[in-house]
Amino acid sequence: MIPAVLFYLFGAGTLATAACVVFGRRAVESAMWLIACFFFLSAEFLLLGFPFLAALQIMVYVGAIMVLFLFVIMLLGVQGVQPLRGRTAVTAGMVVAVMLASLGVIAAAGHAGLTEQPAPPDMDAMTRALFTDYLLPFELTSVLLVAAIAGALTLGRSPRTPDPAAPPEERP
Amino acid sequence: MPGPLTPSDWLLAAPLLWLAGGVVAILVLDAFRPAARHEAGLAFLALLGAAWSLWPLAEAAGEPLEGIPGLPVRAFSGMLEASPGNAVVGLLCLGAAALAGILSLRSLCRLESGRHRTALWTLLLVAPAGMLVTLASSHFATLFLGIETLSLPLYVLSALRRTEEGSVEAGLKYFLLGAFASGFLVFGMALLYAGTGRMDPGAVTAALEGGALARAGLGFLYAGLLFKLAIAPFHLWVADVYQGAPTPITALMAAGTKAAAALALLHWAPPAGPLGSGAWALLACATLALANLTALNQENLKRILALSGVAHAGLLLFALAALQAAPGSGASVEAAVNFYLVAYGVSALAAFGALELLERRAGGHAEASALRGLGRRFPVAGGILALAVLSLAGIPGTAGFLGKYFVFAELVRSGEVGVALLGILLTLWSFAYYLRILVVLYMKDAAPAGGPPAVQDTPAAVALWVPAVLVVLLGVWPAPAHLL
Repeated sequence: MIPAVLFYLFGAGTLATAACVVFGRRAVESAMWLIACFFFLSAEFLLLGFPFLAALQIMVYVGAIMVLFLFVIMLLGVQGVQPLRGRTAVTAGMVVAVMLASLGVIAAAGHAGLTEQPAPPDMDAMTRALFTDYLLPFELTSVLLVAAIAGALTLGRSPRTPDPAAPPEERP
Repeated sequence: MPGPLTPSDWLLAAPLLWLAGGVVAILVLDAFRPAARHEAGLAFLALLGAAWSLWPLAEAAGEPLEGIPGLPVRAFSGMLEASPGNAVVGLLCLGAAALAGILSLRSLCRLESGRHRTALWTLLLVAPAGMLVTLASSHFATLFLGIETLSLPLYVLSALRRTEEGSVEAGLKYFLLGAFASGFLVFGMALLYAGTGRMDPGAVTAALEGGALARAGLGFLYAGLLFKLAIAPFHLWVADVYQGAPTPITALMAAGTKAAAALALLHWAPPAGPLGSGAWALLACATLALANLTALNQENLKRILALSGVAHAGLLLFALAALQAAPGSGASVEAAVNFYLVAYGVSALAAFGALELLERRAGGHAEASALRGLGRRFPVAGGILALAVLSLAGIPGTAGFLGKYFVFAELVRSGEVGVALLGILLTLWSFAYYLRILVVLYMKDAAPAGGPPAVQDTPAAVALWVPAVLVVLLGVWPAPAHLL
């Protein structure tokens, strides 16, 4: 009984804070609401019996990703956020509608459409899987990240700083 | 508890290790000796090593490899699965990256600063690694990571000429639409996993028998894959991106990405199901018709070649239709697709490579007006472009003809004669714009030489002979086709 009440309570909290992220007036404000949202979501995972996922949610999303977001926001000094308007709002609404519609499909299918709920993973099994069956994807992720860093460094620099040592390019 | 890596794991990991090793070597050396010009050498070494380690598999048609049970080779607990034919297509991807590198030596490499050069060579190694993983993927994790690993470098490489508006636009368009497609792909995978509980290609079969949830997932998965393959209605980005990207990178995209995405689609294609062959045949005809229609009134040769690539991808779907109509024909359809991909790949490499050389002579433009008559002024580059265009059109005696022939033969064998006839008619229609390229190259009066005279680019001129010779060789002596 109490877990069920808590589940819906935290669920409402997740939705409310998520709405605050979207409608927040300032970027920092939205980021803070997103952190709150992640905490609620993590509590939901805990109630569903996935403590590891709950811990990851906090460590990875709040601890790493949101801190990075805040760094970027504060360093670049995003002043005001453009509120959603016109075609952007329509597009965003359509994307959300597609997502909600597919959730509706899931709900309509009931549990028949879903496979059985897997047993809550333990750390041991998870790490074992990560370094045996999923070794290749795990390593491939690092290649992808290296490529992303190299690409970001290249495109992020200002374009008009030619290397004085380099010979000029042949084409105009 | 599983033991250490098996011989099959090492066999399929070796090319990736070469490429990743090359990336690490370039980046580490760059950190310590930023002034040294080592990148190109290291990159070619890594590509050669990867090709060398892939060769045993490509050669092993029919006979099992030492220490490895059975073909196709399965590795990493079923994450990757590759047949000898896949390995040949993998070699094509490596060759495409090498050719893109050689074409860049005298152009892209001289843009801006050292760090720029480092990124160029790093990304030219990461992209083929992603292609190799994608074309051999047999798990959602490797499929998604492979597609991302091949796309991300191409997004950046497309935007490498950052002072040119077209290049930046190409990179941004490709990135935004690609990110959207990736979203579809992951969403589809999530729904498929929720609906079937599987992450291997068996999920597709299970989904066709399963509920609405899994079927919706299947739709999203194919939307994502068809975007990468540029099938109508997901082909609108191709012309802009191919035109805006630097031509060496366009060559890599045309040959490599298409091959990887097509093989992934074949891997993940459903066996005969309720969709039937009609859906694939319809998509193929629509893609061919739309590409032909759009290509007819293009003024830019790069755009025409880009739309020709769309048409070729559409033609590949006929092979899937044949597979659907005759489920037992898996092996021969795969062989036809592999040959088709290699034939299209070498033709596209020759076409875009030669176009890059001609473009430099025309002051960096690929407009038909700027390239008028250049075929007569530069007989070698012009001749190679003409040969490649003939192969893309499918003139007998070239690789492109046999590629098309094998695909249509599969279609006829599966009993879809009407569809095959329609496809052949659509292909004949495409001759109109291929002929136009030849007319521009040879029939029109020469355009006045524009821009500063281009420096002689010997490495590129020599390297271009490789795909050009292959176009003819595969066209008259398709014996290697049996190797596929």
